[in-house]
Amino acid sequence: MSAKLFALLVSSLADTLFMVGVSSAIAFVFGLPLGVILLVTERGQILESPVVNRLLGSIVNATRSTPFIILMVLLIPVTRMIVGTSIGTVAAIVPLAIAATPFVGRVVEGALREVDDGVVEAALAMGASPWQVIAKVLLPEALPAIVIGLTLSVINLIGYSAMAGAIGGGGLGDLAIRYGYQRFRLDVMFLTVAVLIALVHLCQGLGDLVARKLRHDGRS
Amino acid sequence: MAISLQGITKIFGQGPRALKALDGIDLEVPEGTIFGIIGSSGAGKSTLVRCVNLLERPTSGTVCVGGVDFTSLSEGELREARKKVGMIFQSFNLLARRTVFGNVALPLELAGWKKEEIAPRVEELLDLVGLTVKRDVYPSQLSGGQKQRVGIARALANHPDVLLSDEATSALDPMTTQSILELLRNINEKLGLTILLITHEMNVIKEICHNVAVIEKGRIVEQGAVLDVFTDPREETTRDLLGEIIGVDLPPTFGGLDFSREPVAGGDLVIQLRFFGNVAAEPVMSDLVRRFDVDVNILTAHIDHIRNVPYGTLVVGLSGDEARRQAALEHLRALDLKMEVVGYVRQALCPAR
Repeated sequence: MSAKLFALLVSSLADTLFMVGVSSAIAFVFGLPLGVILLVTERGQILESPVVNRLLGSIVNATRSTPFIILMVLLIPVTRMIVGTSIGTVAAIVPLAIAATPFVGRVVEGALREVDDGVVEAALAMGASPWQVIAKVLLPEALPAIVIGLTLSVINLIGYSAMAGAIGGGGLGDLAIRYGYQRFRLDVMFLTVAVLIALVHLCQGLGDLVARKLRHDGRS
Repeated sequence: MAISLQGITKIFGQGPRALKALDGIDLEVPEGTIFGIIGSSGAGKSTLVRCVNLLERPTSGTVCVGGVDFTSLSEGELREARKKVGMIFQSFNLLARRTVFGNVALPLELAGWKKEEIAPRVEELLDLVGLTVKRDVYPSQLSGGQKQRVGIARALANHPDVLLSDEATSALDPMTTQSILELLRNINEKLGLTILLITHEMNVIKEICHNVAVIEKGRIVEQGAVLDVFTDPREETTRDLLGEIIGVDLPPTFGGLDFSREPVAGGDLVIQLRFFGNVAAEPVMSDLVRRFDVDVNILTAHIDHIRNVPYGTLVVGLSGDEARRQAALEHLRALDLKMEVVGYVRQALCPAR
């Protein structure tokens, strides 16, 4: 492999990590409260509110049912408004974060749902406020499941970020398309795919490890 | 503190699918007593105990704890009030990701205790329930009985006025049940804590309760002091629930002899004696034989205890001269026990003399 190609690969990897890292962070920041709200506003939950629940639920569903590649194109005006351009690594972060937020929301909602109702009931019986139930019971108890879910979200974002390459988003996907596909450089194609596979493996392994360390329910 | 429930009704759902889980429950739990509510599953027990701390809000009726009407409190006031009502559960409901210490500390954190106050209080509670060595262990590493001990320590943490127990021993084996019941009785005696518990096990009532209420289809069908209800159950439901404890069903025959409710010429009397307290220790039967020269044949017997008070049921055949038998009956009626002529058998139960 030429030094030039190697440098290209490294910078593409850095781009991917940057895109995935920043968009993951944004998606977590918005997705976590979104997931909490989705759960606690449900019927029979501690902050039951059918209107809020249905409204947020349909927004989440609409975003999630739009294919990412379409969403990316649809969001071009928004991206331009926020970043100033719709091309490049930074620009790709906008659609990535917007697509991942509802996903994280659902993942968090699912993790919180797994918390035993009895434990919540016990906390309410102790006089816990809804906020205390969320902060002291729901989130801490669901943490291992949330970590697993967030890992899944990051891996999803790695996949999405490669797609972002298709509309000039930069990163490993961009490298694979421009060199591997358009210039028939099969070696570049395979190399990129190999790096992506390694990246996904690393994330999954790390996520599983952290979740296992966090669990104390005898399932580890 | 005393708990007073008045006219508690709970209806789930609306319209034709509405389900009346509780139907006009009145209940007075005197301060410092252990009050047991017993009923078969689906009788409304769980709903009832949840109505006390308003985890389930009654459709109508009032709940007073220590004179405060919980049903009239605002959300914030209710949260404060709940901090003084401990609760333990059948499934323990411990936080899996907190250690034993962390679980017991939770209600104190919620009540805004300072860290340096929490630690000594938790240590004290762990000592009370005998789990000091398990301080830093997670619930998954505990046995059922140990988990319930953590549950009890947690419920007692914030110095509650009353303790609610929702089938706290139903998931435990008989030996562990016994030790948990002893712990509850200890707490009641040591702290003077009022305990309201629900259960489907008569044994639990028998071991620790002062008073009992029998619930069926959302209504209280019978209530009173445990000894009274156990020795003189008035309702069919109570008798059914008590069956295993009293253990005396009269069979149609005794040793092949036909049993009759009507007097039989020349037959033997069958009497049922129910006694409790000191009488149980006295030699009533041998006394009878000596003083009245009658023959006594024990047909069935069952002796047990309710909260350490001996209590028994005895069914005996009485044969001999009619006058002497009547004298013997007179004597028994005068004693501090419940005597009932339940029937007759057609032939002499005792060998003819």
